[in-house]
Amino acid sequence: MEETVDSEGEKLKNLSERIDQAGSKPPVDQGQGAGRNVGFDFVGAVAGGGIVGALLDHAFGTTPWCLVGMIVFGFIVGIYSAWRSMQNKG
Amino acid sequence: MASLLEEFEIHPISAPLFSLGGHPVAFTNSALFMMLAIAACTLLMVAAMRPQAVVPGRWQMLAEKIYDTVADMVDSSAGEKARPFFPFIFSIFTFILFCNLFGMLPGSLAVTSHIIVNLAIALTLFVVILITGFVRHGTHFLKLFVPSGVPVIMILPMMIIEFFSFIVRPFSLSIRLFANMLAGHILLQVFAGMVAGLLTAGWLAGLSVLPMLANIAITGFEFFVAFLQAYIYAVLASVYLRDAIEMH
Repeated sequence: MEETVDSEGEKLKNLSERIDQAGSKPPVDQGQGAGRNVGFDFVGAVAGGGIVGALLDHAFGTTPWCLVGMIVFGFIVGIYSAWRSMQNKG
Repeated sequence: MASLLEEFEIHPISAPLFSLGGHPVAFTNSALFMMLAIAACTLLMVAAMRPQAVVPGRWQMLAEKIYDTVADMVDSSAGEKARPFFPFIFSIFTFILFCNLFGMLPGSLAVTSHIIVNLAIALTLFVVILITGFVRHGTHFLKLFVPSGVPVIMILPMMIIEFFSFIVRPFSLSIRLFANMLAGHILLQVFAGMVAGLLTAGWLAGLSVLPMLANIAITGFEFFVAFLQAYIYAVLASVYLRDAIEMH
């Protein structure tokens, strides 16, 4: 009788430890959510580069070179930030 | 035949109320649904907590569950020191959640499918992060852009890239929500159009059940995406806030 009570107690202790471990990562980072979120970081960087480039063009009148340059820069930064996100999670 | 983008159009409901920088500002359907979302959330949280029972009834349990979910998420993603920012993150989460859910009603406008709404929330968050970072850390805040363990010659390009990827965060945050909502609603519209098209095609009318079943599944999926995208937005907002508060 004591053995079953002890093993149930251990199972309960392990259960709370296992819940803590499972709960520390938000569920969106595992499984399907991971790739989609990283993809949006990349797209956001390119779009952000486009917006900043368009604003710089509007300020300095150098159409379209600022836009093109910032889109390319956004591409590079997007790859860098997506790579860093995957390093953190993988 | 209605165009595909007609459900995302903003219509003025009232006459122009005042003028802002030369542009007349009227009460639009977008403003209506934003106010409905805020009113619904406020009503839920205030009315559900009115009994203040130690053993909660159903509504109180729902309100407490929402509070606990967001509180746990802020604690784990933004750290313990971010507790003062909990009302802000909670407001962002519930506003986006209720806007997404109200967008699922037939004939309504999904407010979060306009990028300007998401961008406004993200830029507000960004300003809060910048002010917090500079008030808390002074110019030391700029050390955020210098990653550790980098050879000296790479520091300047890395700083530029890190700075740009910091600037780009509000854009990626808002584009994620915008694209999910826009794509979901367009998908629903396309399948519904298929049902209507097949029904008017004579002998193919029996096949119209198939896109209808697909639309039922997609509607369920869109409700899930409404919750998930609100949660992702709030989680990422907390993570970016942690960068400003704890600098790592």
